[in-house]
Amino acid sequence: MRSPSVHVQVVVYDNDVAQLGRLARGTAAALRAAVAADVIERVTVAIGDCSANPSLDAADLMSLTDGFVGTLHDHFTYEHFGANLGSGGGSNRLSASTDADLVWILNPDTYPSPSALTHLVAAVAPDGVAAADARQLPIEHPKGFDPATGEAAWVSGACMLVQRLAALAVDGFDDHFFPMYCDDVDFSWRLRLDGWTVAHAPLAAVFHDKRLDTDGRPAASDFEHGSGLLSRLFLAHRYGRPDVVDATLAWAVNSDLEAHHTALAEYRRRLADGDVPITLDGAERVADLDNAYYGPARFSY
Amino acid sequence: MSLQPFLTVITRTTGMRSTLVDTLTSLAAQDDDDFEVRLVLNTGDPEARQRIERLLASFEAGFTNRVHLHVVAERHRVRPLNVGLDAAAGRYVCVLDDDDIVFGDWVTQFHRHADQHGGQVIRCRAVDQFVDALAADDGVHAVASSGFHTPYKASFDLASHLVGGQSPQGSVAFPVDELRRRGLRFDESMVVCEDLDFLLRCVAELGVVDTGTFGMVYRRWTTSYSSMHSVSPEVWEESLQQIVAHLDKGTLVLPPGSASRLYQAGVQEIEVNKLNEGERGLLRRAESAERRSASLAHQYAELERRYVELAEHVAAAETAQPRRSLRRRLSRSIRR
Repeated sequence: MRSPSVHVQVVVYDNDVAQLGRLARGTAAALRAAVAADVIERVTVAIGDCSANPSLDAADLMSLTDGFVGTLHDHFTYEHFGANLGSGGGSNRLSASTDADLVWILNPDTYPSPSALTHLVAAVAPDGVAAADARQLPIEHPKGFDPATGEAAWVSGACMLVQRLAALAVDGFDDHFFPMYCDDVDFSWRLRLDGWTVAHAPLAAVFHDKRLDTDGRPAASDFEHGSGLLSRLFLAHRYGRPDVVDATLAWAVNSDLEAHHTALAEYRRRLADGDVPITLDGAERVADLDNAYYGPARFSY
Repeated sequence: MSLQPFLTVITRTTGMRSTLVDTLTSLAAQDDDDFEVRLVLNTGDPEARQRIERLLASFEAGFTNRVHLHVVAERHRVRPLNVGLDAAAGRYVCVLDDDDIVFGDWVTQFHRHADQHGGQVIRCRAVDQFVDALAADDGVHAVASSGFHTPYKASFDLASHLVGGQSPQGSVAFPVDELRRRGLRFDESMVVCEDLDFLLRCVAELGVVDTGTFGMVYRRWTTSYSSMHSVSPEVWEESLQQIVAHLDKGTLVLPPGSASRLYQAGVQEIEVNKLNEGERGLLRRAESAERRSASLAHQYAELERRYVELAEHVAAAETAQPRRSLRRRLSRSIRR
């Protein structure tokens, strides 16, 4: 039986070229290791640029091509979208142009360990597993998983390997309601509604460049706070939890953060326009909105 | 980048823990790549060496070329550190364990402060995280079982360090030229706490500067994969006494705020001298109990936190079904 082909894709938005260079070199090492282990064959790489102006010039592209593809001599493309499609929209665009068996989605601020892809491929190999994510460093995600099978409630889009046909079957990411945050939660839950499972691969390590605030907690920008709130409300609509909508609104109106109030204003405007998700049949089977991590958590930050 | 790297990272390993992958990955991903790694393998086992060489070869060449492998065949906890120290080509040197992980600006922060305060010890902040062992074909990996704890003082404090480590070794970087000029090395006679001993002797001679930023995650095993689990309390106490004896031999440079702490300690000493022998014995026991209590309180807080998490999960599982039924009814009634 032939090994699966892999399409690597990264959506960038005004990212530092040095950071992308590191990602390229780390990814190439992981690809080489997976090819050497005979777990993948044929590799293609695509970068999609959501920046207002192209953030990579010819010299940058040349160095990234070398970094990403290295000795594999496979296909590399760069597309400036000319619009900010968000991470989900950008990912959909990039995966539309490949016929690879597996799509490896990486955030631009990640750096995979050399064995990461090999472990991710193993994690999606069992029948019925649509997607797998890696264990993040230095801030490990608290979400729970089955130690025997890796099965999890959802998988993170920061470093996710997904069966292309499974993603296609659920129309990929929903970039309208989830342009940046929780697109992976919604995507995972729709995959599970479609009968698939998703898995965490703890042996697959990926560095995700997150920092701590002055209290030693994972730092979040205002944008993340606002988008996170809006996404939670939309998830609650889509997955049939009016009680969570009410509780989230009641909590947010008392928030000290301006970003939350901006998000609330946007939510109310879109609600008035009827621009909120409709509830999916069977949503309660897959959705878990009872904690902040959208599923059982091993611990909290 | 100059020919001399800014930083030398010394990492000792026995080759048993696959957490080294995490350590190296977090190093390869640094913003500032002006560093080299002195990886000291502390075993003569040829298979362990082959495993490590294969691991290093699997990283990108730009990183692997900056990692130098040294072998200390005879098992010795401290000697590998001096081997790394002797080989260090960097302006500064830091020790990372083979299960530590660092944040993306770890080198950057050391570099920035070393440029401003060259010649002094540089200290960043660290968080603790409990990890469970995950056995795999290639060795023992770690998965987190707690959030981050911040048990270490934000700023360096000598008195606190004397009664217990406040700076995991990956949180401090030392100026190499000064170490060599003054003959500062790790004490190979120590069984444990060699890092604390080295740190305090260096700080006493060189002074210390805090970056104020969090630079590393110090991982604590919930199972027996660290020296913490394999050494008796008596050995720890003996090592701490060795450290105090080392410091007693020289002159101390103390950071701002130390005069107040010394004054308080002096007042307490006068009060203690007024006590009779029986009362002093009681006081010593009380102080010992206080130290143990602080340690137990830390462990208790962690257990309590984990208990609450478990209880919440159980409660969520028990009530999920009735809540979902109610939600369905509510949802249907709203749609109607």
